[in-house]
Amino acid sequence: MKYAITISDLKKSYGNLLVLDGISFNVKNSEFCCVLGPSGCGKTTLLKILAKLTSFDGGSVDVQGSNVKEDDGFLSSISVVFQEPRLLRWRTVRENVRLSVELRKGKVEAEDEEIVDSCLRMVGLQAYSNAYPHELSGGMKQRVALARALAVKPKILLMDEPLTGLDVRTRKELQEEILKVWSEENLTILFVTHDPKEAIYLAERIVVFSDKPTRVKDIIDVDIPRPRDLSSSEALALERYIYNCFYA
Amino acid sequence: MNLKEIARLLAAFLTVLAVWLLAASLVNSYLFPSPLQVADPFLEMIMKPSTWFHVAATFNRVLLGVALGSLLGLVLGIAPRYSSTASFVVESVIQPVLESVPALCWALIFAALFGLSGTAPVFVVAAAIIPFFTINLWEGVKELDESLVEMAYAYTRNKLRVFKAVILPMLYPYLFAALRTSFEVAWKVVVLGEVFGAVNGIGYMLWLSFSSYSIDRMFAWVLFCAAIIAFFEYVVFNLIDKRLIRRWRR
Repeated sequence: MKYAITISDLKKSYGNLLVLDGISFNVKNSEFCCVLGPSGCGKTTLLKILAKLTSFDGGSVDVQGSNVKEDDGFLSSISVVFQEPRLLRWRTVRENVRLSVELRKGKVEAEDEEIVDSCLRMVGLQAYSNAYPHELSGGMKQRVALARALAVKPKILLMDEPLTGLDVRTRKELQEEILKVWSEENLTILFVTHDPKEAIYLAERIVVFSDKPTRVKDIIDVDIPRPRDLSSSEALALERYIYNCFYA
Repeated sequence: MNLKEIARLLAAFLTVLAVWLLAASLVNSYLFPSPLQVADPFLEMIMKPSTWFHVAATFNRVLLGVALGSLLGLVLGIAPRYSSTASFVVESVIQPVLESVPALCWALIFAALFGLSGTAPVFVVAAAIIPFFTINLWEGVKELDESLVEMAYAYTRNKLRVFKAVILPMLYPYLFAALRTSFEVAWKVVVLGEVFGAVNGIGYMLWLSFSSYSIDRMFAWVLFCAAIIAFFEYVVFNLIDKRLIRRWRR
């Protein structure tokens, strides 16, 4: 199985409003793929379709080789990180991370507890295990959300602009964190963003979306070696190319 | 509670006593005893073990009634979220009936069903408090943070797990508010239930004192009842509120 996600001719409308107008692209196994598009172009809708949190009207979507409409089995291999952390305010950091395991498995076994702890270490929050969400900064909250998503050992991570609204430094740190997790855990990541620089920094491939009704404008391979320098001539050239693509 | 609040509470209490004393001395009849006349039977009652037996019987009925009513109220309050038929039945049939039938009617109906066995007051309590649970939970369900529910569904399709881990905790503050109101209401209506459907308990003793013209004893029982309600309101629930419920609030 070469592709983690296969999307072909995907159509979705809300009432009379056509949002996705025949989207087709694939995400390879272990690939870091960014979907780049303007605000309100249906990027979030696409992620919700992939996580089966909303339905779609036409085309087909396969995740991990199973048809999204007919099968639920693939759900156990994906995790979603939303734009907002969506933490439970009455649970501590650790209990929030543990939540995903509780929900997915129904009970938490000893080995899961170890995974929870290792996920907390991975995002550097072991010292905050017993803190409550309101005691954390925005970046830390998003780290908890990331740890929660990782605690169920997903194969595919869907990320919906998780760094929007964070300050530049925190953003940078979290980008590194995500890249580290991606390479260490052999994850497939579909990362949605509206920021071309972020896409260039993170992705192996960038899928550029148009305005609504949304189509795929371009699919760009990013071959710049890591760690990437956004002020390098290749990166700047790519950025210019993407801007042209946006305004074409 | 700080000193100032205690002083204020004491002042309010003394004012009530003073007004009562004044009113009683104006009426000057054994049908309206003064606090001084009630003090004797009240103190005597506190000493007597049989008094505590009656209090325990009533307390037991309150607990059972609240347990039964809260369980049913919980189901009725949450069912509309999961089924539109349930929503219709609860909102346009069950809730209006439960809200409009006076507690006295329930007392008579359940006394007719269960006789003097002491079961009737339990059901009177349950029937009286269900609407409070239903209304509070509707409010809670409307205020649910749907983004958290969606997050939970991204991890599982098991509705029970989502309910237990995410939805129910969001409803705790509303459940607690309902429980608090229910306890007050329960103490009021349990007495009514006991007048018609029991041969012990505070309500029965109230009725007994009334029908034997021992008005001073009747007043003493009323005081007893008020003291118990106040104890729950000011001590028990405030403690629970401080210790437990705050962390579930926004």
